[in-house]
Amino acid sequence: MARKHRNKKKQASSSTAAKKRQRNKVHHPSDDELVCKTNDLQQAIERNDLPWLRTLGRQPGLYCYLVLNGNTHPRNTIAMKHKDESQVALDVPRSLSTWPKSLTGKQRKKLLPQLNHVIVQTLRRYPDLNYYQGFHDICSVFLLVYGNQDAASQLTSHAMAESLEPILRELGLLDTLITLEDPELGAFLQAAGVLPFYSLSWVLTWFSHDLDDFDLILRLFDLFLSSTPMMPLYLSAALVLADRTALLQQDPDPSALHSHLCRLPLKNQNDMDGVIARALAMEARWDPRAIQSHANVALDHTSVINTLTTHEEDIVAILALKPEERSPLDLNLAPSSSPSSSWHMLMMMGAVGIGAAAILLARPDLLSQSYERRGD
Amino acid sequence: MNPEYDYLFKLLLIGDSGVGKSCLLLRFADDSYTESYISTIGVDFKIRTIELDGKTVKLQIWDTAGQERFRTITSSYYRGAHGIIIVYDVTDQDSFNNVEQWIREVDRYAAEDIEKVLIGNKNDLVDKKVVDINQAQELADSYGMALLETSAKESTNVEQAFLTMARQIKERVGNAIQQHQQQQQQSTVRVGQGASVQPQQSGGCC
Repeated sequence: MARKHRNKKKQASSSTAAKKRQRNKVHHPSDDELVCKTNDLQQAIERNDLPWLRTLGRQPGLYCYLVLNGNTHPRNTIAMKHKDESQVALDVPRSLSTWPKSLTGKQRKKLLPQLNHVIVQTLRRYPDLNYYQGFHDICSVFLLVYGNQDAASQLTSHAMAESLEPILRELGLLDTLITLEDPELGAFLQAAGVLPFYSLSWVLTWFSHDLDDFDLILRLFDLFLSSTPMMPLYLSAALVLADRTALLQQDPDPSALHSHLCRLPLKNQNDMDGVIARALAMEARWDPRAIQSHANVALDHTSVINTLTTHEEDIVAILALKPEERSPLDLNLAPSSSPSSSWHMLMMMGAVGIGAAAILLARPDLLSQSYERRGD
Repeated sequence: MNPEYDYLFKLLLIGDSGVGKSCLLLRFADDSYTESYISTIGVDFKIRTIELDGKTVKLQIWDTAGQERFRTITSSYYRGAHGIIIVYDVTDQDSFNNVEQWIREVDRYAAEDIEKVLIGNKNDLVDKKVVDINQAQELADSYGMALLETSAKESTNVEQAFLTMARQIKERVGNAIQQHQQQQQQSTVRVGQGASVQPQQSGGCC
């Protein structure tokens, strides 16, 4: 956090251009910052220093730097079809239509078959997993950044279990998290009876379905890949909390509130750094076990949120579990007296929520070049 | 009485993924069409206010994700609805074959006498059409539903489809809803949410 504030000061005093950028509250790094951070990143990568990388990924102003660390060699193409490919065929043509804004129709046309390859090959590799609408958005981001369909197809998500029920239970923690931070707002939303489904696409797609600023999407992906799997939920709560004044003035009508809440990512697009800072503060205050205890809602003991598993094989095995093979975490087991300490340590030792260990390295200009090249 | 409208009807669009639910809603609510639409994840609604027999009717139309994995979520919005529009794609036989499965969902989660309309969308794709209108009409008749073939792209029959739905609701339950909404004045009018939140609402309306 201290580092973040220093960065902001540095940016504000460096140049007129930087001051202009400061007015737009999304932190766009200056060239100096990019060079500095790129050096940090390269060193961290050379040392294979995941905690450092994770620290860098959670700082503001460091966006569009995702690069796979590890198996980026071409993978064998798998021919055996997956049961969900017909749904993929419906979603791919509806992809890459809102971002990046610089993408031309011709470039998009060339990218769509590659996106199809990424999704289909991921599914075929893990036949026990299930495709969900929204996974195509996540894969789109990875494809654009890596520019390599083999690299991008090394993804899994905890929304690919047999049903979405585990995710819905996770969304059930959102009200609790909001109430823990802001009892008045929490009580208002719960009394109105608004269901937490407004945040469904936020969590399922890491907000990529709800934003149109591609740089910001990349900034958030950096954050999520560098954090524990609970971060999308912390950010969702922080987004709602950021809107408290407007929300409390709303009619307590669940439909109108649902609609209002659905639009919060776009509404806050220019102030996401503040929202991220709040999410990070909440993460330090409330560990997942504490939230589950307060909510009296236990996620599965095998949930990525409770296990922090990082090994690809373990993740896939957990995701493939049938409902009857899952059981909720025992919330009666004594929670740590200082909820945040053990959680924080785990965080620093480090789990990455998604199967791929992801690291940052690239510049926005290189990124745009990468798909422009492929568009030629 | 709310001065903005005489009636508030909540409608729900359901049907297989990719049949054009969001495009139908975009055409009806905003009178526009885009080839580059995005998939719907979860639920959201649009509003359009219409005049019907001298009455102002506000339609709150909920759009839902079509993928089966989202049924748990979308079904929570069935019970507070006054009307359900089931959509299939006239160029996709599977989407039509699944209509009965959608009707079973409605029977399971929606209010007992909810109004239903069947829509066969993408009717502009004449060369690709595979669902015969007689076959569709037979199905619609067997469930007492009106059938309309539409094209969101060419704006054919879309207006009529939603108006048919609104008229059916108004004729059948309009008076009851209006009375109910008058009773429930102030902040307690919550017809827009699922029964899990307001279990009494739909019972009073439909």
